[in-house]
Amino acid sequence: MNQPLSLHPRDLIDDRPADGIFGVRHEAFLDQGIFELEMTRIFESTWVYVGLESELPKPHDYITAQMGRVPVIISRDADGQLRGLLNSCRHRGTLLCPLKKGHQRVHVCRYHGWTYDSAGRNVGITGKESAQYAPAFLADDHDLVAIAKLESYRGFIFASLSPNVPTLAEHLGDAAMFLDLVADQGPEGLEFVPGTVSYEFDANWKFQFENGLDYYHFFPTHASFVQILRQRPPAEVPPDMASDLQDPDPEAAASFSFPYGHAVTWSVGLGGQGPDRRPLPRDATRLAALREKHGDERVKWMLRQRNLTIFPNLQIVDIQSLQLRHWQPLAVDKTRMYSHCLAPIGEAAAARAFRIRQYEEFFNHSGLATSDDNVMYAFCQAGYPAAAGRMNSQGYARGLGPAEDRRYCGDELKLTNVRWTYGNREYGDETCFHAGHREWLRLMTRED
Amino acid sequence: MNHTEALSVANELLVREGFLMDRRDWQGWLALYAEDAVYWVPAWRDESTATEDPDTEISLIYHTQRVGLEERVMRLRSRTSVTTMPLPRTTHFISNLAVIGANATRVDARCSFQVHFFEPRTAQQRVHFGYYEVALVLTNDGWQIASKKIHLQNDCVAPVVDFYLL
Repeated sequence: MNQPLSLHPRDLIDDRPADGIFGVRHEAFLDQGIFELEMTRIFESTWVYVGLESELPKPHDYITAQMGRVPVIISRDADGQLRGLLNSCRHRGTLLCPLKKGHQRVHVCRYHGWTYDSAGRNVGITGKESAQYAPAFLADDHDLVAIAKLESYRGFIFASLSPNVPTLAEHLGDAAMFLDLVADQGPEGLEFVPGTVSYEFDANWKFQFENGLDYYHFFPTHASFVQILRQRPPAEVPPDMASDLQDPDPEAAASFSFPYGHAVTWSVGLGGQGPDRRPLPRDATRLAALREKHGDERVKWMLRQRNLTIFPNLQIVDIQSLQLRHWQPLAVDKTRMYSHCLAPIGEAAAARAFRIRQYEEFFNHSGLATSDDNVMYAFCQAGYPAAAGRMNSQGYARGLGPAEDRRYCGDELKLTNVRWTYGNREYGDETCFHAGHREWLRLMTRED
Repeated sequence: MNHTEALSVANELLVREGFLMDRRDWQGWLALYAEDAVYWVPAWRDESTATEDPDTEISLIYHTQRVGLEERVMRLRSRTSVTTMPLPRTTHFISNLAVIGANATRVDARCSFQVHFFEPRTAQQRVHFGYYEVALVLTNDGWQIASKKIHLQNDCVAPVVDFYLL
């Protein structure tokens, strides 16, 4: 565990876009020392996604989560305020809440019975009067330790164990617009459809981070899924589904990248992901209301295929259904995934059932596509030692060269601080990985 | 049909199903299912409750027609899905079989299951376990599965869950 760091993070990234070069050394995915440093300097030091507000709607509701190696509780106190607390009793450090979620006015440690309210305040030390405690103990604070930073944006809760971070608004930057495109789909809020799907894959977490932005892999990796779609009879489209769903722009695949590591890839007309395969238009009344409220342009973007990554642990994928997934690195070569089907509260029953079937088919590890990604990550983990010691600049190169007929499109969403690329549907951008690796390097080499 | 006959119908069919999967006789396996068979693997709502309504909650797998299973066999045979290259070697077990109801053309039963599987590439081995609830019906093609609900207890350990691992 305490093996000396044999590699310095700055030697693992070669960032020279002006020369047409971006590279990552495979040791970033293989080295135990680098993994330990990622836990300390990334997952335990920057904003990470921890939950959705609608998971804990009422006072005294709570959820538990993991920030790097640190277990935490997100609790709604008696006043409805969100509290971020370390999930560890002040007495002996015991895990206080062993469940994923619940509703508790008080949390009682099962070891010696110390008690905390839903704001984390200590409200009971068992046998305090008989304890012969010294004055120093009595003068001490016995409340649960608060997480340094906890903020919510449009119902998405983020937390940081280090106080040394920008505000959440600055951290998200213009990537927040892509959370808006999701949040706006639920005027009464968004909820997780009951039933979390969780699985593990035998590979480094960064394969998931990259793959969630990677359109280039879709047809080769998911060939069997595409084959199944092609042999199916055409999907039944409800008669009241709006007829003006066709995207007015030419077929395209493109990306936006933001400061602090976030990126989104988006497309128009990529196979099998047209509006007829999306749950949103299945609720025609709500879609009409969204057009009314947000305008055709915003709805056009809601209906575009969008893969959003909020560095380091959140992806929201709006393709044939709407998925929120996040991850917990377990080891340099093992990652646990948590996948949720995200849906507008109050959605029509038929649209909801369609959303669920579409979600299961693609995003479940028991579906027809995601297991191929998981196995591919393990193949990468197995293949990476072969090229260790060399910079891999082959896998980060699409989009670094000159291009014609590029369209910015960011003005439609009023984006200001953004890097962007644009290509045809076979383009398969790889520059969208750069932002995350740049942020990785910034955090890994930050002087604190 | 008496209880002993019903037990024997259920036992024979479920043992044959496991054997066909272990032998990778996919056509034979599909033929055990009625065309409108329901194949359902609920997900977990929390630590101890499985999801119950497939139209408002997530399932791991939910098909209401055999064609859903046929697509899974197609994917496996396509030789384009890396998940099945190579396929794990499996051994299916059932036990604790109980008949819940039976008449001349239908048997409802439940049993515990285990599937041991071994991945040749990594030499990893794992076990899936849980219980099945099945409805079997007598058709022109003999006894077939009209519905199978698979309660998978350890749903989150493997990178893939599919019919041949259940």
